Amino acid sequence: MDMTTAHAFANQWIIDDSEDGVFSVRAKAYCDPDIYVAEQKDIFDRCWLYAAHESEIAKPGDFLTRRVGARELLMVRGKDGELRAFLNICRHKGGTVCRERSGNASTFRCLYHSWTYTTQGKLAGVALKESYASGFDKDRFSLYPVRLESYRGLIFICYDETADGLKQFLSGAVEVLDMILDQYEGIDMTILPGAYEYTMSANWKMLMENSMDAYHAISVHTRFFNDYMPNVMGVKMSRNDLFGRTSEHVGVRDLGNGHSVGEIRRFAKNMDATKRSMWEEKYGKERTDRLINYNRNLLLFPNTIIAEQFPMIRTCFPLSADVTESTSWTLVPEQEDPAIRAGRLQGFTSFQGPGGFGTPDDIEVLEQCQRNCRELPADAYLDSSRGMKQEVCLPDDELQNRVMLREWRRQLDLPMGQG
Amino acid sequence: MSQDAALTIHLRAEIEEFLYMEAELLDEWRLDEWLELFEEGAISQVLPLRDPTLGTDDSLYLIDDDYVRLKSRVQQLLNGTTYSENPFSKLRRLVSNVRAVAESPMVVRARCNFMVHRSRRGKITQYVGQCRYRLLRKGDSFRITERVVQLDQDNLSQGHLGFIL
Repeated sequence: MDMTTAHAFANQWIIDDSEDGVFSVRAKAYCDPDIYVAEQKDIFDRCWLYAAHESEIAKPGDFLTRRVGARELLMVRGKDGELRAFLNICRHKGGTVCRERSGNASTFRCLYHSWTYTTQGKLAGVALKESYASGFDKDRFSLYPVRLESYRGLIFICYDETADGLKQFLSGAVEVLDMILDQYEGIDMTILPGAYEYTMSANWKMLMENSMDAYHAISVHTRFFNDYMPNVMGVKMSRNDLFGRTSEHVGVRDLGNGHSVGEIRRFAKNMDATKRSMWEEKYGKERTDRLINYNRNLLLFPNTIIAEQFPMIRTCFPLSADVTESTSWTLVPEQEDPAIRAGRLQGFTSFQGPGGFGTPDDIEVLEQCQRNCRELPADAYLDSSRGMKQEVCLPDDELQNRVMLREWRRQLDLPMGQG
Repeated sequence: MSQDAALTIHLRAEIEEFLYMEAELLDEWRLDEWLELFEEGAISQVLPLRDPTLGTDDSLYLIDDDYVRLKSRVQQLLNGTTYSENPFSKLRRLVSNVRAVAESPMVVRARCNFMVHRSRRGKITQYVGQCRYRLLRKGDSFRITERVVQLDQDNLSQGHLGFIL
C-alpha cells in the first residue's frame, strides 16, 4: 500500500487489505472507554451469550444467579420444568430477588419488603397486601424476563428481543459443537465445582485472541512445551507435530457470524480406548480418527471459548476497557473411569488455571500489551495479518482474529472516520 | 502449667520455627532449598475457592501438584521460563495463628494463617488464607508430606498463582 492510501485509511478502526494481505486494528480499540460503552450496547446487549450448562439447573426449582454480560441473572428451572432467565431484580424497589449463588427453591423472596416470586417469575404475593388497591394487578409485576435458549445442554441468553434465534446465531458452529458433544452422546454431563474465576488488566478481545492463538505458544509457553510436556506428561511434540499441516484436518475455519474453529493434533492421552470401536460403528472410521487424533478449539463470538480437550468452557466479559473477568468451567461425564477423570483434570489444571503452567504467563503478556496500548499514539495500529493470503490458515496463523474482529466492526455502530 | 500444655507449647514452638524458615525461603526465592523440605511423594495443593471440602476427583483445584509436578514447577520458576515471575515479584508473607497436633510420635498436623503481599511493576496483590501441613519428623526438623492452601477470597481478582503461595 502506498502512503496516500495509508493516509486515507488512517482513521479506520480496521484495515482489511486483502490485496496486500495486511489486516490491522487500531490499538485504541483495546483501550478506549467509548469503545467499551459501544461494545456493551452493540455487542453484549445483542449477541447470544453463553450463560450456564443445563446440568447446573437440572431439577424443577433449581436456580443459579450469575452475571452474564452487564447484568446479574436469575436462571431457574420452573416447577413446570421450563428453563427461564430473569433479571435478578425485584419489581418493587429494585432489590436483589435471590441472594444465593445456586440452590433449589419453591419461591424467591426479596429481602427488602418480602415481595415473593414463583419459579416461573410471577409475583406470587406481597407482604401486608391489604393496603394495595383492588386495581393493583400482580400479573403486571412479573420479573423482567431475558431470552434463553439452549443447544445440547449449553444455555445461552440474549438481551435483544429482536435478534435471530440461537441456532441461526451459532451458524457453522453448530456442526463443531455436534462433533464435540457427539463424543458424550447418551452420557450425563456435569459442570464440576471450582470454576476458575479471575480478572486481569487487559481488554477482553486480547484474551479472546490469546485463547485461540497458537502463534504465541512457542515463545510464551516454552516452559509448558519444553519442560512440562516432556518431563511431566512424557510427551514430546514439536510445533510442526501440533500445528503443522500434517493432514487436511489441521487448520482454522471461519464458521460465520464471527465464530471460528481451530483444529490441532491431540497431545493429551485422555481418550477412553474402548470408545474407538463404538464410534467407528456410529460415525465411520474417518470421523472417528478425527475425533480421536484432533482437538477442536471453538471461538463463539463474542466471548466464549470451548476447548474440546478437557472440555473447557471459558467466557470473558469486560468490566471496563482495561479489565476483563474470565470464568473457566470444565464439563465432564458425571460417571467416568477415575483414571480418565484424573487425566482430564490434571490436563486442565496444569495449563488453564491461574495456577497452571500456561495462564499466568499469558496474563503477564496481555497486561503488558494493555498498558502499552494506552501509551501508543492515537492513530497506531496492531497487526493480525498472519496467514492472510494462504489458502489454508493454520492454528498459528491469525484467521480467527480477523474473523472475530471483522464481526466486531460489523456489529459496532461507529462512524467510519471516528477517531 | 500441666505437662500436656507444656508439650503443646513446645510443639508449637518447633512448628513455628519450621514455618518461619519456610516463609523465608519462599520470600527470598530460594526454591531449591524449599523443595528440599518436601518428602518425595509429597503433594502440594491450592483448594478451589468456593468448595474447599471436595476432593480432587470432584472439583477443579487451583493447584494439584504431585511431587513430580511440584519439582517441575520449581525448576520452571528457577530457570527463568516462568515469564510471569521473570523477573521475580517481591514477596513478603506474614505467618500467624499456628496450631499443631502430634498425630503420632513421627507425624504432626499443623496449620497457620498467612498473608502474602506480592508487588510487581507497581501492582500490589494480596493473598490471605490458611495453610495446612502434614509433617514428618526428620532429625531435629520436619519434612512436608502434604501442603494444602485454602485462600479466603471469592475470586482471584487481579491475581494469579504463577508464584508459590
